[in-house]
Amino acid sequence: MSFIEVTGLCKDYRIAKQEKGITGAVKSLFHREYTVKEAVRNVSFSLEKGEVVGYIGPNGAGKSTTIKMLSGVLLPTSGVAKTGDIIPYENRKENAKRIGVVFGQRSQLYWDLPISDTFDLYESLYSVPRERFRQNCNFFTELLDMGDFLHQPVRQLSLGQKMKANIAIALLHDPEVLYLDEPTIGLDVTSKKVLRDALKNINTQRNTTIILTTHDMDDIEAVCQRLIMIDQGQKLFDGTLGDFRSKYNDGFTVKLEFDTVPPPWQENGEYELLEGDERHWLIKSKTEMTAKTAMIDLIGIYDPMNLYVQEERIEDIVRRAYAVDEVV
Amino acid sequence: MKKYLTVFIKSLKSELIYRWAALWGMVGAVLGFLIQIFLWQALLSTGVRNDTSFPDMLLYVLINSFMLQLTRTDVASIIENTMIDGAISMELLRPISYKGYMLAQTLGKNIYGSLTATVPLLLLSLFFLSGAAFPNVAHILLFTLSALLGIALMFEVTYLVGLTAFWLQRCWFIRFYLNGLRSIFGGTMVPLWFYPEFLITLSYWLPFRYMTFEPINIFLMKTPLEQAWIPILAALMWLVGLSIADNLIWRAATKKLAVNGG
Ligand SMILES: Nc1ncnc2c1ncn2[C@@H]1O[C@H](COP(=O)(O)OP(=O)(O)O)[C@@H](O)[C@H]1O
Ligand SMILES: [Mg+2]
Repeated sequence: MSFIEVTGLCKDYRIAKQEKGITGAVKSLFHREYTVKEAVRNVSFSLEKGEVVGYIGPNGAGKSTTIKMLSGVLLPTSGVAKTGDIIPYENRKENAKRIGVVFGQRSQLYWDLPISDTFDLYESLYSVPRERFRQNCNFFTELLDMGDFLHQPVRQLSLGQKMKANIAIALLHDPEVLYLDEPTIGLDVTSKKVLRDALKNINTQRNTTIILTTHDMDDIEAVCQRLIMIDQGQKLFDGTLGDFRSKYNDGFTVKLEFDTVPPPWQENGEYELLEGDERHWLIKSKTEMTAKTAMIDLIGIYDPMNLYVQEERIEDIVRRAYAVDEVV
Repeated sequence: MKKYLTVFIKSLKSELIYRWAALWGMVGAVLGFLIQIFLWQALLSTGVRNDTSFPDMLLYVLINSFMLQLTRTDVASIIENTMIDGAISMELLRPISYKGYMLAQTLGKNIYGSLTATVPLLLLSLFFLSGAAFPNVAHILLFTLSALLGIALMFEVTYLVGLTAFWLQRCWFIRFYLNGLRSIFGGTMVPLWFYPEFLITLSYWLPFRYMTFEPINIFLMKTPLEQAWIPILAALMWLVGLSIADNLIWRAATKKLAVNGG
């Protein structure tokens, strides 16, 4: 049996229909009609201990809903989620001791008090030996570079600083599993890098299992070995990053650089202009061809000063994957 | 247990941050105090009760404001707000009983509130209190017990109201009714002594009078020692009944829960 087992997980939300106007409001007092939103539909996957998985999907795909069920906040409509030997939503408190959770949109910090006070609270919430806890506090304060604002009231902190603190708090009790729901929103480039390194560090040093939800594919590329993609509540892909590339990737991009104004772009069935300005063009082949053919071809037509062939960015592959699934 | 203590202390500490708010709170308490005294003087001058002296009245007003501060709880509106903005999910991520957490938080706030509100009043009225009928040790002990039960009772009822937000999303109107009922049947505005007979009878069957009115009666020695067990037992029974109800409703509520927002 795997460490985390999710089988046939479904979550429906009931949404009360809002009728317009006062008559509608009065009517809804007596009789309410509901529509059912299937936020998560029959999702199954299993994770081994120590795996780092990127859980991706467009807005409203059902990522946060899945995380809420895994962390014991929401009860599934049907299906089972299991972490270790615990069913999280039936054993909320027991489960809570073993997991760390960050919802990027929310904060767990005392608003009026410094971060160090929230640290104190978490020290007593989890029965972690004092020595170990202190050690972790220092470790993460250092790692996430929080020393400067540890003693400032939380309401005076920036979004990114609060995010760092929330991440640290999720880690202070040495959780076996870490659920991160969009933990990089609001972080600057440096802090993102710091966080990614920290996650890698925690994963290798402590064998922490991590499920990471994000819209930043650089996060995924940096820390995840595996990718699960969902859309409209359904799982569409589950495999390694490499598998993902080969499934959704259909080629490479070529970047042309000009030292003078480039010749006009010629629309044809072979190439597609992805982005273009005065000096740079990003081109993608529409048909299957080798990079060599494309290079010779493009140099022949446009005579650029420089030419680079690039593997398609995960970002673009994902964008296309979402678009493809939208059509289906 | 230690975790609840920490929640309590942090809640107290959060309150301490706003010194200006505390100061204005004190001013408000003093004003409220004066209003109550004027009302009482008007009432006493009508001759309805000529067994009550001014120091006795002062003592009543003091202990009444103290008890009101101690049983103030906004737990229902806190729950309602966490439901509205979806922050309830964060509370549920903590390995702690939700009710215990809420109680510890409320106590932190109230202890602070009642100290800041009552101490100035006490200092203000110290000179006028001589001659008031102060309770003896036995009454003070019974009062303490009864007051603790009252605080717990008020919390239970408000918490129960808060839990309805799991179904209704909003519960301000129920809170509104609760406050009304409490004012009437708890004797927090006008003591129940002045009520018509049928309202007094009714009040015995509701939990509200056991929150502040009965503890105050014990403190003022209006309840003789040998009868003190009656309100105490009644409060205890309400408390047990409500805890059972709370637990059942909490279980249903967590099943029902749909967290708002991302
Ligand atoms: N409390 C709720 N009530 C009704 N619908 C909800 C609720 N929470 C989320 N949803 C809906 O469920 C779907 C999945 O939401 P969510 O899991 O938050 O998506 P994601 O995190 O992938 O962006 C969305 O269509 C959203 O509108
Ligand atoms: Mg989300």
